Amino acid sequence: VTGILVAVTLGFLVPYGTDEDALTTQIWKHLFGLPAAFALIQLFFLMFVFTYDSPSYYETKNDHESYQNSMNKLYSNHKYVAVLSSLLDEQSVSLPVKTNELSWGQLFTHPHRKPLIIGLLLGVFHQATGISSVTFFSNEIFAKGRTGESAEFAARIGTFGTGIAGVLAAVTAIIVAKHYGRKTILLVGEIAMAFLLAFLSH
Amino acid sequence: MDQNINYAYTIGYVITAAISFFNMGYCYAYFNTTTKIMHDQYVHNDKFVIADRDLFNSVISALIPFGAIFGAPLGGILANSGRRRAIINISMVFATACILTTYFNFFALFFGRLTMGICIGAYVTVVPLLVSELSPKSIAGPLGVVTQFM
Repeated sequence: VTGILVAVTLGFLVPYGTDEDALTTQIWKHLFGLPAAFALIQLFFLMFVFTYDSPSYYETKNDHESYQNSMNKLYSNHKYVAVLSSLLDEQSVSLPVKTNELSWGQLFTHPHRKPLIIGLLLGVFHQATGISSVTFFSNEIFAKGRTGESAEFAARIGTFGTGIAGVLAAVTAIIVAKHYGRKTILLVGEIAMAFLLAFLSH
Repeated sequence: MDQNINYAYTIGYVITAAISFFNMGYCYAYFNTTTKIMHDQYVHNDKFVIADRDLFNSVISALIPFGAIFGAPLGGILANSGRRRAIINISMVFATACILTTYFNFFALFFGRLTMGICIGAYVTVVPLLVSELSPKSIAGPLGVVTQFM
């Protein structure tokens, strides 16, 4: 949601369609190229600072040395890591190699079927709320019924509002999640969404 | 063991991975405000573009979710060769695609956005996987939120 907020905030820099520099402005090049800069920063850190993969990955690959190195980076208590990795060694000697990977067939059988259905339905609900359509077309939605400069201004402010609302909702959800539980929030959110979308399409 | 978590390293790693999610949100939203002047400029310069502005907006916007459909399974395959390596590879392609979209050409924009969509789909699979595997149990909750918040 921070990404969306930054994008709509930078949107204020874009001239209105009615402005005289609208046909010559190169500002969109900077807007389009910005994520590349962030991706390059990320690449720099991943290549030179965070040089180890997750411990779980090395565990599935049975790479004990890298596992220990990775754990040493994550925890400063070397003693604990040493004990744990020796346990890991014993296990790998006494037990046949056990992978956490599930086959596609197993995914649809008893212990995994219910989480699978819940996971899929959550995704479907999230998409079915249609929030993406608001993110993509908020400019058009807020400009409806207005013309010229006031339409463009309303569009920018409205789009900015959706960005702010997104951040606020995320913060609220984090705070409230501890008191009411995830399921309640999800249910309340879905019900509110149903009413608000009906209102939006009115 | 909890007090011995190397917070700087762990949180830094998670935030670095979560930059992908920042980029995802950013790419979803930025075309919204620029679509009008982009279309005007294409028409003004007699460049090839979809004539109807709303259709142009819809097509270019929808390219990211459309690409993500194919990117998500791809991310799962890439994650098997290492989560960190997967993110490095995806970010390289992603950065290239972003630079491609800065060219003033409809097809560059089209294929750039499509490739970005594929990368974002792959991010969505790999990044939460890496974050959940990195996070020590005691701070797994707050760290899981970081990706959503970005």
